[in-house]
Amino acid sequence: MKQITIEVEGVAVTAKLNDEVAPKVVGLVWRSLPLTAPLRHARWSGSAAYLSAPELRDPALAPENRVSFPRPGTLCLLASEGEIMFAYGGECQARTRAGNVWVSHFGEIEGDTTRFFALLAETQSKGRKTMTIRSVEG
Amino acid sequence: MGRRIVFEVEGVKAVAELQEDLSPKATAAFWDALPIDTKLMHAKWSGEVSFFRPGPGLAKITDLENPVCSIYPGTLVMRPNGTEALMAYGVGEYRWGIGTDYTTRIARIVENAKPFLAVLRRMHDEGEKQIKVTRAET
Repeated sequence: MKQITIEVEGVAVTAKLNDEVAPKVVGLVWRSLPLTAPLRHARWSGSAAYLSAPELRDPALAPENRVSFPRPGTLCLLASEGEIMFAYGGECQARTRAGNVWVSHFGEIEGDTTRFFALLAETQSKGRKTMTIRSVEG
Repeated sequence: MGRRIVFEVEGVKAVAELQEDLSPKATAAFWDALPIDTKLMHAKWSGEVSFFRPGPGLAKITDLENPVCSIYPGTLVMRPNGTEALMAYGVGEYRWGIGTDYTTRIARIVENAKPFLAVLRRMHDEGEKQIKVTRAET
């Protein structure tokens, strides 16, 4: 099982990747690591922040393990835009200006997420942050 | 020419005209609620939109007037009961967790829209700001 670390402003969490149900999406994300990119608050999707990186963009990649209402702590890719979405609590639905969209649920954050979620939420009040994602060699 | 108001964020001002012909009750209550000096936040469901809470003086406006869903750039709209007043700087549509909803038009910028909306656009990267809304001097 592949694992990654996700770090924002010195706060890091670990996530496991769901290779079995989202193999192509996990492959795309894995090949993009390490990745440092801007993290901004969602403008259409509610209580979520998103990382945006051209390395993650693949308009031809169909959603795998698709969801519309991500649970807090799940990692979801919108490949058409090259965005990883991080729901942090409250209400969240994957949306664009055109309406609801499917996103690929490809991973789960493990352990205590309290400080990490607080930083994600803070992108609404304090603006953009920088996120770094690295593979965990095992 | 209708009554005019002034928005100010980070020293950048824009003059707007109240939409009294479309929304006589809401615009009258908004005028009575001025001046407003409060926190301006970026929307998380409605797209390229900033919003503020106009205060308890608008609570008496419980109905919509000539309602709209789309929020055009430079247009200020309000939810019933004065819970939120929103202005789009780009593509905006009033939405929340359960979907799209209606708003009442309050005012439309008629002077200095471009520089003012550029300040709102920066909020996605820079976070919340302070907004002042006052009556324009005649």
